[in-house]
Amino acid sequence: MKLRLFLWLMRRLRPITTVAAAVACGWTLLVPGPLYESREWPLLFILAHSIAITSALGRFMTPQFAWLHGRGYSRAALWSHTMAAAGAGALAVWIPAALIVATPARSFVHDRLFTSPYYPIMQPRDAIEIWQWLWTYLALLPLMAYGWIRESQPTRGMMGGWLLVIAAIIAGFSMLNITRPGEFPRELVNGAYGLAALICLIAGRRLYRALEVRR
Amino acid sequence: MTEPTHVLVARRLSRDYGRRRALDAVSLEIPAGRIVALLGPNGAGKSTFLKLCAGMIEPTDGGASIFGISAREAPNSAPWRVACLLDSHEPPEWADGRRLVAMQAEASPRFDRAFADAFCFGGGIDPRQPYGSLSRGQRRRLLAGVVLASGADLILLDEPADGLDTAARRDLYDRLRRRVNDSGSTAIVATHNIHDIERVADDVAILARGRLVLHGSLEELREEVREIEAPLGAALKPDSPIEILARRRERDAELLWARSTGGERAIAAAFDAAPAISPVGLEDLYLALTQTSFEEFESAQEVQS
Amino acid sequence: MRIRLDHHSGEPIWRQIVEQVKYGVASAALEPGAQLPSIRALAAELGINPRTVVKAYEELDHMGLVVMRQGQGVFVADRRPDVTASARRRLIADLGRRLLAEGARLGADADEVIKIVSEVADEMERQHD
Repeated sequence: MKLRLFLWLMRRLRPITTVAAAVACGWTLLVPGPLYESREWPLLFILAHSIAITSALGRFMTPQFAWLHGRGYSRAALWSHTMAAAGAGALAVWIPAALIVATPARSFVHDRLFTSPYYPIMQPRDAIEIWQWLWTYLALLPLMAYGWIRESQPTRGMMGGWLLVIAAIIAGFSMLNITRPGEFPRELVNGAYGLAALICLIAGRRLYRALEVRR
Repeated sequence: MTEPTHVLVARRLSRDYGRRRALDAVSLEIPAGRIVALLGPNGAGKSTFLKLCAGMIEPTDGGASIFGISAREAPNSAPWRVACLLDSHEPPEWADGRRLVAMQAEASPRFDRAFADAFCFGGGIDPRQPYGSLSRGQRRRLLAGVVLASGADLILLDEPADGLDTAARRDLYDRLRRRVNDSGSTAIVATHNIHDIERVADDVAILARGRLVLHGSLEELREEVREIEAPLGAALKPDSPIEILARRRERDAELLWARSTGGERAIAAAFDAAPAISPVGLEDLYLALTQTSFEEFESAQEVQS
Repeated sequence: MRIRLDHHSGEPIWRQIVEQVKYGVASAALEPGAQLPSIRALAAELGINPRTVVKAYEELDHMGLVVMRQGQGVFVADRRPDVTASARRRLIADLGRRLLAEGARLGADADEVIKIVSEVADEMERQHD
């Protein structure tokens, strides 16, 4: 583990993480009704956040990116630390939001402030949703990273990989949005995402070895 | 001393950006333990050449190998053996000197911290001052110091002394010389400041419009290259063992720059009329070569149109 | 003795070193047996490649002006190389012709060149004392 490199990459995510954590925590705390009733918003948020993370870490044409790649870190180290930073950036937003649900904070607010009718069953129902959020993050990030690198490399295969990623995300999201936790198609989608993420992680590592630093 | 091994071998190395050929079939070999001055006008392909050497970009044709492996493979299998500071590479504004040094130390197993502290933080640079608030000279000093301290076997520098004052420039190049002499590493320095680099360089490579127009050791060039002022109409004897590098017609004479392993005597013998022959410094030779290739290019354009 | 280099004259660096050591020996600034800096030290002092120093020292060794002793260093030779009087005359005459030709190019006649040469000889003599 190269701590300096990791912290350096994390620093790039700082503004995004700050904004995203505030939005995620505020929404999780204040959205009325059980979380599964408004599932499309977390999905869209995670998608937007993943795109923000990917683009912030993959600004291939900047002088800063080029400087980092001239230091003598191996490409394998740069790729693994970039992915670790992306994951950490997601966790930095997910953990506070998940804590709001897992601790009685959300239930308390809704019971006392909004006198929610869902009070006793709210916390156990919501706790199932937050794991789906985490899974969606961890599956999306490698997909986005792979599509992003592939897109940016002029000498490589261009649009093919990117289009596939977009199609997978749209299909998966519609499935996740209409099915409930524990239902069969949802597990299938999650499994397929996991597999795709693993493949993208390995393929992205390969692609990153030959990444052009053109600046 | 042992026979030098080649640190860098380029074979017909070429690179296109879109339809523009930035580097065109450059072939050269650079032995270990040398400082190479990479000269050329703006847009001659110096940065492209350095990026290809560092394995950062893919050659369109031909290839380069460093330490016997493909340059494109080096960022994977021998990343810390190359350290580079290109003109377009810069750390983010918020990073301070302490961080930049610590980061290079993490990437380079042979990092020389004492050197980095002495050089980077000499000249009134506060280690905690953000990069963005440093002057241009301080920035170059910091970044060049980090690269010199890296302990890399191949050091690629693009205008490392830009913005430094005379004393700091000389100090930088003296330290580069010492590192190369002590560790046997190799440095390629792209610069426009021929006067400074001539003091320290062992070899010179001159690029013009993507082509390598001259490559050789400076000591050899000092022996073999002469500037000749010949009367108009003076003819070169056929089969003379000399190479005309450049020529320019003046009003009442012709100026030539010629190279021969036989040195001045061979060059004098090649002319039927007695010409005035004088040694030539790097700056004049550079101007002669790059202007000639520019004129050649212009006339080629005219023929095409 | 301090060697001063001109990197911009187009004159090879190794030859500048050779000429200055030669001058040092001729003007007796370098006594026979005196030790010259090591290759490494001179390269560091002058900020040049050690190979250039090697080339200069080898040339001086070849000319018989210095001796390179393995593991000890480089020393000014004890005695002048054996050159027959006729060979010496030929070499010096050759140099003289070049000197006079250069002088003529600069507009100095033979008398002026000879006058300058004797002044330089006096100068070197004075440095010796």
